Amino acid sequence: MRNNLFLLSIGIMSLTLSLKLVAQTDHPMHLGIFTTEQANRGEAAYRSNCASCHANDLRGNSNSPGLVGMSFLFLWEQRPLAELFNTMRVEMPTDRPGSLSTATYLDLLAFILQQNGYPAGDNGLSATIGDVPSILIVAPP
Amino acid sequence: MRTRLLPAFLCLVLSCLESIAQVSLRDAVTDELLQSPPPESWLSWRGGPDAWGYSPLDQINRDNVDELRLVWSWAMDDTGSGEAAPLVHDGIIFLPNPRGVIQALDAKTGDLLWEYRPGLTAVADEANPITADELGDSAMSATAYAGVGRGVQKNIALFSDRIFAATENASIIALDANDGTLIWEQRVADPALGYHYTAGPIVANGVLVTGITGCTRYKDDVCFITGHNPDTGEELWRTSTVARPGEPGGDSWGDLPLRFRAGGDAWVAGSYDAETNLVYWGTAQAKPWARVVRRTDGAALYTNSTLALDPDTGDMVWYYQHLPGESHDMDEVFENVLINIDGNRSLFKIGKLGILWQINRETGEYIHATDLGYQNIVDLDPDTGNVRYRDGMIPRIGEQLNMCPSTSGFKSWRAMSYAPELSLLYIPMTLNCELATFGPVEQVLGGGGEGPVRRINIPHPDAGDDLGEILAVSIPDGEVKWRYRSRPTVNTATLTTGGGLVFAGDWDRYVYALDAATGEKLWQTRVTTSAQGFPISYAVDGKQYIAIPAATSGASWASMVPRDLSPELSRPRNGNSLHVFALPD
Repeated sequence: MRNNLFLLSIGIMSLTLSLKLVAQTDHPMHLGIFTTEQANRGEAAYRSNCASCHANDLRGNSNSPGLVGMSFLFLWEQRPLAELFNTMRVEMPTDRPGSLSTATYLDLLAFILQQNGYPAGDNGLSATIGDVPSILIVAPP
Repeated sequence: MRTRLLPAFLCLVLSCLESIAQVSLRDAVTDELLQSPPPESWLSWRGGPDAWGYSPLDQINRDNVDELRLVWSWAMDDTGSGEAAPLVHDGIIFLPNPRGVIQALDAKTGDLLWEYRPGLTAVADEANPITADELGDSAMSATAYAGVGRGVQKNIALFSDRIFAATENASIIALDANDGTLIWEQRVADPALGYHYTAGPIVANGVLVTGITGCTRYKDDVCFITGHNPDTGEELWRTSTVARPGEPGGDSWGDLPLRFRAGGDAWVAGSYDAETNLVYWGTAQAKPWARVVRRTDGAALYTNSTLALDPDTGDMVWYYQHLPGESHDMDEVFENVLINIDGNRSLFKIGKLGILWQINRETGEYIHATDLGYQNIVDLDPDTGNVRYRDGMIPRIGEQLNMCPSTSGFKSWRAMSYAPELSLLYIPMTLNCELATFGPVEQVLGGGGEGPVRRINIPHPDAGDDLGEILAVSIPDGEVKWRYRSRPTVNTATLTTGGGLVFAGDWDRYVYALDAATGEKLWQTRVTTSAQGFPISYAVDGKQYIAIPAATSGASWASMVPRDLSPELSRPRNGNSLHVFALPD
């Protein structure tokens, strides 16, 4: 009985792991949701508009949170990518919220995703991402 | 005869005028002058070396302040957060702008006399300025906006015939106070490691003393305060604000190696007492903020402490750690107000928790503390000054805390002031709380930082709809004499004057004067954007002026808290400026 339960739990864990791998592999953020060109433009915009608070390496400073790695995932994992984009667009930069163009906000999001290790793809981020609550942020591949 | 004398007379007059003009630009500031500043001046960032934020001038007073009107204003650079602490000497205002710009203005008329722009202004032959090539990737973009950190320039210092400032690139500079020429630039730390300055130097016994910030990352170095020769910039000493392994206090970080001992940022300028010959400087909390995240529950010396340093050697004569093992981002780094009272040579300080401390500034011994009653994180033993975290209030990773204040604090860099006539301190507060969930950091070189916090700003349960408060607190007993409350956050330091007034301003663009004895509002007007910075008072040709900065951005009080908790209020996104008021002629 105990052995059966053990095997059953191993089976469930394997199934969960498999589903997670499949889910992550098929996740839009793992398939390339922004272009390299967007991320490159985003780097320049980041330097001008974000780095003095979030730091050149995106690791944050003072009350400005880190935007990469463990910090990014702690703040954003399992939350909609749309929420991240809309937060950027509505609240950032804190001193001039909403003052950048939509294209620049998209470039900045692309840069943040790139710096977190998400792959670039052929299709660029578009403003419709803000209307798609179903894409939840997952860890990079 | 008359004709022959006229040229000589004119020559004499012109010579006199020329002489006056030269003296007004070249009257050297001595140690003695800094210790006993003339009433018409504002020679140190808080007026005098004791950081009272007090002007003895009384031409503007309770009886006539309602006649106050704008004399001139000046648009400052809109390149970031303005937290300006202007200085005044011989009728000239020296004004720090964001991104390292410093201007000299005629304090009576607002005419520009000179300005220093890093990389653009003339430099002396031996100045050796930092270049963009030298900075490489650690350079801030020329168009970058100084938000809440790098690029902010709060205070500058005046000594001899020079202006001294500390830069976004972790260097200290000296300017000729006559024309703004860069005389020297001294590299202090590597900005690629995160180091930068937001607070400027003070002058103590002829030594420039400056505290660095940006000490949050894991690296093979720790935060520090330095002393420099004002003639050359040469570094005379460097005192760590973090106890190193194997040194006294080093075991207060457990077994963490040096590279994982972060924080202790010294991001607010200190005070100096010539009689004790000690510099008093605050340090910020350990990083990452939460104990569980930084992986030690030790006291983490010398973070969140007041340090007493010998300005000639940098020796730490004493320290007082206000919150050992701090765990919520509750800074105690702020201004050190030096007051002799009831026979005690005291130092008063208040941190984000809203606990007012009285320390013996000769010995560092605890005298008294008053919990002003808004925080819910610690219990204070008033007999000993010891604090104990309340049950359940030490953060755990991923568990939400309902804490008051928020990580913005009740009190921040907006300095309190002192009215010696009434023995009252005037403390600008923001009343707020937070649902905070602390998260982990990577313990690797280059990692660390404060640690992520999922934060939701919420109102304080005792504040009603009001976010702003000025507390008038009597010392040494800590009794609250009156409270001025406002819906918007109080967004400036306070200024007290011999006219019995307290000046301040709020996020909603109002600047005002309160009766220092009662808190009654006696005058107000509105400025370009949020009042923000350090109001000052000075006099030229026998006329008293009040100068109040306005600015955008400026740490979380001026951005996140108003955005979340007073969304019906709005302000322009630009408008950094200085506004100067006086009575009608």
